[in-house]
Amino acid sequence: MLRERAGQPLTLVLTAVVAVAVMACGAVAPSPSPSASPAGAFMARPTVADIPSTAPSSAIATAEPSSPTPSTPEPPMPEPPAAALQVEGGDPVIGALGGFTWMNGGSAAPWLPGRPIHVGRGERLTFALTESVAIGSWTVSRSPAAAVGTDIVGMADGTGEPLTFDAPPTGSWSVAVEIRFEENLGSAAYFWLVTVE
Amino acid sequence: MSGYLNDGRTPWHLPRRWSVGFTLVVLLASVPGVAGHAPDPALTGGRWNQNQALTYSWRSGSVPDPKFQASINAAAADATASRASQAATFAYSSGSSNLIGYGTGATCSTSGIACFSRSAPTSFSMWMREQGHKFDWGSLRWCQYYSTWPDGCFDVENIMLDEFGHVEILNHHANYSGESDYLDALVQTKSHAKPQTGWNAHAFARCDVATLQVQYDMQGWGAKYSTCLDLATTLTLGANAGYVGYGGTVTLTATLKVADDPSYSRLAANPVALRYVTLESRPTGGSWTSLGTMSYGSTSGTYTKAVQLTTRREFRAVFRKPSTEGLRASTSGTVVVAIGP
Repeated sequence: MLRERAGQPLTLVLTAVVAVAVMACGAVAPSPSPSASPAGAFMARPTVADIPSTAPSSAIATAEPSSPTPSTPEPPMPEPPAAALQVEGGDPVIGALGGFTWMNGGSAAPWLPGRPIHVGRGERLTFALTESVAIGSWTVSRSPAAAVGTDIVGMADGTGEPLTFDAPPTGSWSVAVEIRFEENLGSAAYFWLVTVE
Repeated sequence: MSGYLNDGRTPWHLPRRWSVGFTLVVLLASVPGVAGHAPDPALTGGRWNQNQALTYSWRSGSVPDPKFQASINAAAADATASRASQAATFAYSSGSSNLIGYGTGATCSTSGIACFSRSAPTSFSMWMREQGHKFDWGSLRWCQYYSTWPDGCFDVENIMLDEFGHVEILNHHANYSGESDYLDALVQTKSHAKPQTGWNAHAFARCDVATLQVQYDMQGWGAKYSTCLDLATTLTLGANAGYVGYGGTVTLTATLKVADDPSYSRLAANPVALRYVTLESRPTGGSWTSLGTMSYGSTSGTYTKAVQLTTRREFRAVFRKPSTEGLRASTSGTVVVAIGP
């Protein structure tokens, strides 16, 4: 479980972190640190040019620009609660939400680099949702930050809370925490770019 | 058991003349086998009707490029072809109120490349993000956009089949923490791009199918159960007479069913037809020997064999665990047939 800081309820801390994260998303999508650059084969960083390495087929050469605005915009899809990762005495860091199902809807997403968090070697990490939703089964796995989504190694698994696990070895890792919510509410993957010093 | 199964066979009834002296003994298989990783969890929100024909059309103002349309239609066909159950089918139909859209209007989450919503048994919708969409993790590349598919692209057919799986009722598969079992399901929390494991799979995998079978039942009594399931079976055995004259013939009939376990949902108590069931015999107190495979009976899930007797014998039927499906072994109780006057 996340600890409350001196005289400051955990919920306030998490709320503040969420607010900062939301504001950041509204302006410019947060960018991982340079070491977090997903140089792996499976992600293309957005660039000014962003020219595909392979030419589009002529049949759909005009496909990309054709992204018309829908005639009847739909409301955004409901999402599962945000989640934070924290080491003892550290600030909680809200994770990047990946693929999920929630309330009869859901989104597909790849393995994400995740939000940066710095931890010491051998530290214990604690995961918590920012809303009162019970956690069922869970798994934790990691992938090298330099090649996100490859060389996946299982780190921990379990059921219910507390959801804690040891920091990965020294280096930079994309860590995925995959949650199954109780009462069959859905499932979600959250990601952090964990730098272990 | 529920729903109509399409092998055209009738429920099993004993001939009335066999009812007297007919012995039925049931022995549930007790081996707690582990056939594989767990079936996909099911989403809440209800099921479609069995074999419900779901249609979709393109969302006005957000129509996918024709090449993407072809891949979405292929995904719909994949879902229908690989469901191995009476789950809903999918097909494009102009004017359908179930809409699939493409582009900037997508309601997917910030990191989502595609998404769905469902309201069974009435409606569903799906979205694809546009080619080149800028995420904080990178730029979206759909493979079908390119004449030669680059590494890092997402296969539209694979991703949209994942969405059709959700629409059916499938939640994400619960992988082992190292994802060594990623290929057990197509419906996954983490989508894979070329050339990651399973990036271009175009069929539901065994743990997807397992849940579809539990939720929607089998397409026929002879159809195979997913190896992601581990269903107990019951095997009963009866004889058409408790005794026969010296040299007379007795007909033994075995009935194989999925155990009547409420957790099996629609699969509970299903007749299991067209399998190998063997008949074994022994003298009282002796060792069992096989009399061979029993023939398929006239009703689904029954197996018969006629045996000529000159001495009192004990019989039992045996169903061995198949390597190709998720059924456990079972052995019937013993039936005794004597030599009578």
